[in-house]
Amino acid sequence: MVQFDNQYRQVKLKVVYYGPGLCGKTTCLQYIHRVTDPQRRTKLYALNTASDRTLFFDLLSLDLGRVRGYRVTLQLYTVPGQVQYNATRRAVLAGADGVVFVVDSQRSKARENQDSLANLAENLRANGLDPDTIPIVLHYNKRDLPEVLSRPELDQLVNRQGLRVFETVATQGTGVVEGFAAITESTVLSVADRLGLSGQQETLQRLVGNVRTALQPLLPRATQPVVEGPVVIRPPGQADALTPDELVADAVRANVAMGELSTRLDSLSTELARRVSNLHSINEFGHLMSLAREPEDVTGSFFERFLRELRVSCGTLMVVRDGGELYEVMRKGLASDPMGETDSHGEVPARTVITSRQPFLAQLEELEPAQVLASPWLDELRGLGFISALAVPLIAQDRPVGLVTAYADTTRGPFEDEELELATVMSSTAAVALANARAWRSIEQINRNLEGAVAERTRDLQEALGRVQALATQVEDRNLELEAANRQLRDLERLKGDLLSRVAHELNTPVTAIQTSARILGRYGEVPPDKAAKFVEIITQEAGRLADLIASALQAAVLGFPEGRPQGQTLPLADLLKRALAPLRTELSERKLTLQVKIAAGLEKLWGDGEQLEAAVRAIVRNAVEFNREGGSVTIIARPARRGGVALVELRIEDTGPGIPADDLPHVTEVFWQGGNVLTSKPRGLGLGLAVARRVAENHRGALDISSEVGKGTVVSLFLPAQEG
Amino acid sequence: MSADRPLVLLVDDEPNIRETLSFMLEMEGFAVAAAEDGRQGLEMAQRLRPPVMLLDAMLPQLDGFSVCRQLKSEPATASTHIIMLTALGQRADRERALGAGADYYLSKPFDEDELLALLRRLTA
Repeated sequence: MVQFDNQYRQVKLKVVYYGPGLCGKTTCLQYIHRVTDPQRRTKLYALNTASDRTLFFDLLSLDLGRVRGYRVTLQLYTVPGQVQYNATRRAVLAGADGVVFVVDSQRSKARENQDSLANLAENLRANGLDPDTIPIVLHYNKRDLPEVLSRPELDQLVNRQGLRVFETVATQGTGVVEGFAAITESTVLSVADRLGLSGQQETLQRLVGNVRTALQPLLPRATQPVVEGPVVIRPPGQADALTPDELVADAVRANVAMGELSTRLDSLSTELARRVSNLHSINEFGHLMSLAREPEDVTGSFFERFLRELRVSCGTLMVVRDGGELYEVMRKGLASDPMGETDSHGEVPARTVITSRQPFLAQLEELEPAQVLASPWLDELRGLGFISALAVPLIAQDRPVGLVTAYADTTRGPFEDEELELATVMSSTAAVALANARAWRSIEQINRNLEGAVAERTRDLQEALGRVQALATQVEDRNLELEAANRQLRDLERLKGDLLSRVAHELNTPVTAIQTSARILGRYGEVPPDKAAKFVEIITQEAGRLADLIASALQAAVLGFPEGRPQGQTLPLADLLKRALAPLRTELSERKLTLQVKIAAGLEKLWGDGEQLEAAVRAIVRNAVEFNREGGSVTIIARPARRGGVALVELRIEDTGPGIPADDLPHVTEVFWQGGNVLTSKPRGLGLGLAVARRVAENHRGALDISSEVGKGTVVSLFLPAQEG
Repeated sequence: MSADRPLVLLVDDEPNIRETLSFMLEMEGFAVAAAEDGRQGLEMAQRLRPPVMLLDAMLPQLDGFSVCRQLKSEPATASTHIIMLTALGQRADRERALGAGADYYLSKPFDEDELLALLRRLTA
């Protein structure tokens, strides 16, 4: 009876080798045992009771591998053939899914064969099985012996139903494997039938194919027989209270159970060994991952190791970049990975797997048409020659980090569930390691950026500091300038005050005289005529003085002449001199001074600002007139000159005045400097004349020279440009 | 000194001022003595001891303030009324004048009627 072991996803099928005594059943099993891959089968168990050798059968369990997701195990039993062991035979047949009836081909055994066959049918029925439907395969054994019935004779004897026949020589193994394959196929198909799969031809065909595929690895060792004796298991003794039949049934059941336990143990210990090996791998891999510093180390080591553990050479590793894009970092064994590409539905299979957060395993040979429609890339993979596809997402802290795929081909065989487990653990480890390495890299980058930012900030600060310091220096300088300007301002204020005082004083004196004179003339009737004339003269005189003073005061405005190059024009020299001297004529004649003007031949013109030049000349001549002795002279000479390679005109004014003392000479062009002895005479005017002349000379890029000798006179020379330039 | 013609000592370095003021004062019934600089003015004040003096602030030889201070400090001349005349109308000068001991202060050009009234009062 097929047993579905859902916990372990196992299907156990029971096949019994039946036949008369010593027909070769055990030999068949022994041969199968010998030639099958030890990884895929148990030891051959021979069960005995302690007391009675009547209870005797063999058990061989074979792993057929995966058939449609289930691990199919085949359990092969033999029964004791001697007549008296019927109870055993019946017990062993319970739940059989298939029977191989081994016929002893010897002529002498014809009757026994028939009896045994009948016995088989009887026992099957006794167990609720139908002899007509249960898969049965016939072995005509001992074909090598001399006295054997022919094939047709045997067919006549035992094969009325037309069952499949294999002619075998069990001792040599001839035909045994073929027969075994046949019964396995039939049994699996029969089971499938019972599972309701019979309607799907394609499925059944594939099922048969699977079985054959499953059998192939079982039978590589036909050339290397290893003699292994059967394992004998002796159950503990039983009480005698039960009837012999009951005892037998009991004992057989117990033995069957034992056998199965052993089988289970074996498979468990294999499983354990596998898990331990996995653990070692995981451990080692974890250590490897912990050593990886850079993300590239992680991905490189992981991918290589992953493919190695899974024993494949085809796969891809993709990582999720910062922006969320999936990016292939490594690929081996295939030109491009269909899972990483957009399929005909517009989706990327890799993305779907990542989003699901679950590993994905597809056995490409067992695809339903509906599946292929939904995921056409599976078909693509199948087209590339793969039979099994595995995709595991790499998730760290619930964030997708990447995806790894691995593909198995026929040579390698499909991926098993246990391998999925290992793949998942490795991927998780790698995901965390990768996330860590990336995080470290980010931190290092941030650190570097920070250092960079700090350095930059420091530089900025230093720069700012430098600027502040520069500003501070500027401020200091500005302060000093301000202080100097303040002092100048105060000086000017004082100057202004002085100036105003002077102006006031100078103006008020003549005004007083005029006022008083006018009053006299107007108020008093009996003013004597000569007195009256005198007062009129005073008025005239003082008015003249007033005009003079006003002119002087206006001259002060000349100091307000802008510094710098004036708007000039060419001026006739003679005209200039005439205009400058006009207001001084009266005083000249009053003081009885002689005026001489000498202009050099050819010297006709002058360049400059007419107003300024007039003021300058007048100021100098006025001085020459005022500071002169009675009856003296004023001489004006105009001649060409050269200073510093420039053509100039010299206006030289000589007087016969008292002269300027050497100590005073440097100061005479200062503003408000008043010549003359302040103790003996009151200075007239504001003392601005020479200052004005100097300013005018400077404006015209000329010069003012003064030389004097006390007691002799003074010479003032004004140098002015002959032409523009 | 005649009782009906009080003496006024005029100290001013401007000849035209001296001439015009003297004439006017004489026309107004005063006797006038004139000095043309500070030193002369001081000497004449000490000698003549006039009841009233018209003293210009800016004088050669010795300025008006000094003359004033000097005269006021001498008991013989301290009683002379000193009217300081100055062309500088600033308050500082006024204070300076009064600080020097001047009794009155007039700035040029002055109102003659005012001056005459003051002189009459001081020589009454």
